[in-house]
Amino acid sequence: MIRPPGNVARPSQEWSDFVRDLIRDALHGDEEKNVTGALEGAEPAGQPTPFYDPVKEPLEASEVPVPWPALSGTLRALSHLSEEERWEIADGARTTPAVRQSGEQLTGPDGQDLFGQDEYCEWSVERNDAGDIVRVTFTTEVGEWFKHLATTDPVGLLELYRELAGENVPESEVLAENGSYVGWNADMNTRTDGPIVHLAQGSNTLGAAISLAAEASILRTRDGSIVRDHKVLMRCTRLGNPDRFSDPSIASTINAAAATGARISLANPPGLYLAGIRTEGMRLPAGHEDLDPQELWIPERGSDGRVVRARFEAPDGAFPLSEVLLDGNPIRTGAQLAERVDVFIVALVHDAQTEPLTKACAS
Amino acid sequence: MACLGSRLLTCTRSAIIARVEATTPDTSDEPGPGCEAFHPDLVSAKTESLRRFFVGRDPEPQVIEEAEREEELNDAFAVELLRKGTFPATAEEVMARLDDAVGEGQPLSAATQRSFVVAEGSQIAKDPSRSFDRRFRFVVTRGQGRDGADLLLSAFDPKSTDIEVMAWDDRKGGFNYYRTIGGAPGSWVWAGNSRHAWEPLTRGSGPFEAHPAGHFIFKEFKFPWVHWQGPPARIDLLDFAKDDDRAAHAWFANSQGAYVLEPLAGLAIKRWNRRRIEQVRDSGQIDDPRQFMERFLGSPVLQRSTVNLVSSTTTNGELSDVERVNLPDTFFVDGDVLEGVLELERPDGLSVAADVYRDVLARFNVVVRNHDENHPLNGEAPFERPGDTHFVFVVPERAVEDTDFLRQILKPTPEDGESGLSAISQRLAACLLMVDFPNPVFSKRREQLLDHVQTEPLLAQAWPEFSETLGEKIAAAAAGESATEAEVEFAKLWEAGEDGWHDAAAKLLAAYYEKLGEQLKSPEGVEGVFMLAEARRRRVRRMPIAETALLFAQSNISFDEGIEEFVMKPAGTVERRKRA
Repeated sequence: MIRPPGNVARPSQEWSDFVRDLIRDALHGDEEKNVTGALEGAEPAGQPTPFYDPVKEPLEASEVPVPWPALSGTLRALSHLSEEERWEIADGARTTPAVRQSGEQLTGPDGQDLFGQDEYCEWSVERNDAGDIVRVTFTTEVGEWFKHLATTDPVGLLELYRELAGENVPESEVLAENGSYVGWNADMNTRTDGPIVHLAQGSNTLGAAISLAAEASILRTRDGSIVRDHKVLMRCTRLGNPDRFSDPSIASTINAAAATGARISLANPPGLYLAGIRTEGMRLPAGHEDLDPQELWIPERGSDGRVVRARFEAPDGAFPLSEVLLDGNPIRTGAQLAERVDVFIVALVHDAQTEPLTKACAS
Repeated sequence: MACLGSRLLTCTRSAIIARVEATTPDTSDEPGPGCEAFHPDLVSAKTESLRRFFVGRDPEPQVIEEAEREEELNDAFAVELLRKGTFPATAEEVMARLDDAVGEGQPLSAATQRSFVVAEGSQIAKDPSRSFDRRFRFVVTRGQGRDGADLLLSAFDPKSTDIEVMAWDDRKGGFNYYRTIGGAPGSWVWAGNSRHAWEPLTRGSGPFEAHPAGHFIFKEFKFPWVHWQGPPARIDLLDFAKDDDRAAHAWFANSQGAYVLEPLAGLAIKRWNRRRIEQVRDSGQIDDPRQFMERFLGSPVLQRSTVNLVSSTTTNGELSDVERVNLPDTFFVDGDVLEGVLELERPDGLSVAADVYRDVLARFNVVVRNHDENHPLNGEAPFERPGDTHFVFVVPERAVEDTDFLRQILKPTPEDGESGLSAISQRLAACLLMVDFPNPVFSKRREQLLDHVQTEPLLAQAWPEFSETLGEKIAAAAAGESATEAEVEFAKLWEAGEDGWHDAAAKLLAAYYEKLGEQLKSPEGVEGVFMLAEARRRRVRRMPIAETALLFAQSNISFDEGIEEFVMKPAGTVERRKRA
């Protein structure tokens, strides 16, 4: 059975079925949902699918972690932005397109909207009355899990919301009268300050990651040659942004494994995970120099090395984070920390000698 | 670390000896031989030993007396291994012996290890059946404290006996440079300390040929970290030739993206700059003011020049998919120093039309090739493919180590332990750096201003007047009959005064940016920029950091570097002219 991301709850058949449906749809498509599968147009027919359902086929496979940094590669690609500007934009552009202080909306090389928190990790910043940051909370929890809870355990969902975002969260911001989940668009999920609950940016979903993985398991051809350039591959699959750190990392790892004839899946439980924070160069304020900065990183949800939520704050709130220097700069934004936070998925690679499937690059 | 794999592997013995003899210093200002001095044909190996070999000072490896070991070698690598008689034979054995020597939870424990991979031949032929040398190197670090890594190791292969190690020595300050020589197992030499990059006999020699200021070299420092393993371009199994055991090694399997190395390298750079400035303050004098000012103005001596490499984020493969190719602004102006130190604007998002860039590549027959005049094949399989490097437009920019040096002097962060140095004012720095500002690297005009800097030591009591004195001296020369362009340009800004230089510089830059933007819209403008880029690349190809022909793409642009030069003009146009 496929377990919940981060093993945050006991396994449930409904969730397992939901994720297996995502895998099936990503491979075979679903006309009713207007979803095209990765296998459409792939050759040769009759081969085992390179991307597989690990429940249906419990193959012996090695786990390959695929890491990337949490701070947006699309913003990093805009070399004319200063560090400070990039940090401020990232903090403020969680679910809305990134805008500079001058009002100029930032776009990618193809004119597409850019988002500051688009690497399957989002964060919220909490400040004290003086405006200093006291806590930054990072999450990789996918909205699909919360939607699942709305149908299987609405009482537990409301309790979880109140645990994560505060006791005063009204039920109406989580569940509609008919019991459907409305929390995805609720204030605590779209604002950039106050406690975050789960990923809310449109591309940061488990379904997106699974679709990308399935698509990337099919080699692409262009002008008769196999596409090996990761950015071109992203354009060929038309999934994800070539300038992000996450999507090309996932796609290129899976594509390279598929090219060797391997079969690929995502380790159970499939999800996006927080690897931790790199604290080299961090200086804590006077009186706290002996404290290991790693102690400020506090995992909140997830187990067995699969953390999905963590906060960064001084023990007992002993000092605001603005008194912490990172590379010589006081921490004034959550993005400075996000630059040091790593996110990962775990791919399963089953060594096989199957003939790789190919299809033409989307024009 | 750039010594390993430099030309010593492609030089014949006679050529090496000729070069060593030709560069043996006869004055204290001439660099001695570089890394080739470590070639096994030239130095005797000694199994399981540690000797001192300061190229330029020691004619051959020397015995290190116990007192010298105690005084000089207090980095963790020496303390935990070498001084205890442990002499690892291979790169992976260095880490294994460290694990034996230090316990869990210690600053250099296995838990603090990070590994990184670079290969100029990655990305361009993801096909294991192609057997050419991809030029893989591994960098492995230990230590994750507030100053970053305490030990950095570089090797072609975890099982290689050719190893370079840099290890921080907090007692003397700076990194100690170690390497194996001669191929004999565990034949180690201490090749110097960062401070020796600043001392007359050793500067520009041995390891300091490639580390001119005594820093860790991570020349592709910035996003997208061209040639390095990382999210923008992952190095994977398809980049290795069949049967290459390195593909299965933990250093590759667990390698981290260059985005992790970037802050580590930045911390190593800050750490040595901070200590170097402290050493200068404590000594009460700047020993060689010209060498000091080279960090601002550039050096006419190739072995003392420093640059990083930066590129577009557009790949050669996607040139037919995108409309625009973004170009790094630091090719056109010293953007990091202007913005970060002098608080001046940098240009906003420079780019050229992708179809125009493609036409330029075709016109100049641009190819990626694994051999050139400095890097012959020597029996290796040839490789060539048309087009630019994976990330296109790889060009030199001001080295991060110099940007940080300037920042620490002019805008120190006392909370971070930085002390600054009162000798250089913002006004002097700005007026020097704005000379020939459209050419942020390799500016002969800026280098000429070094002639005004005194050669004798600059004592601390003279520091408060140094900026004013030097500024007035150059301004006075500008008023003379034999004034140079550089002096006149300097004087114009200097005369704007303490309150006026910033606005005057901002106006010059704004006008340049506007004209540059116009030029980049025209095919002729883009062609000129490409030729300028090629001219700057050719200079880098002659530098020790150019370890392989795959570093850059090659073209059919023909010119004689000794006679001609390309320069960017304030009008945004590129001029090809005879050298003065």
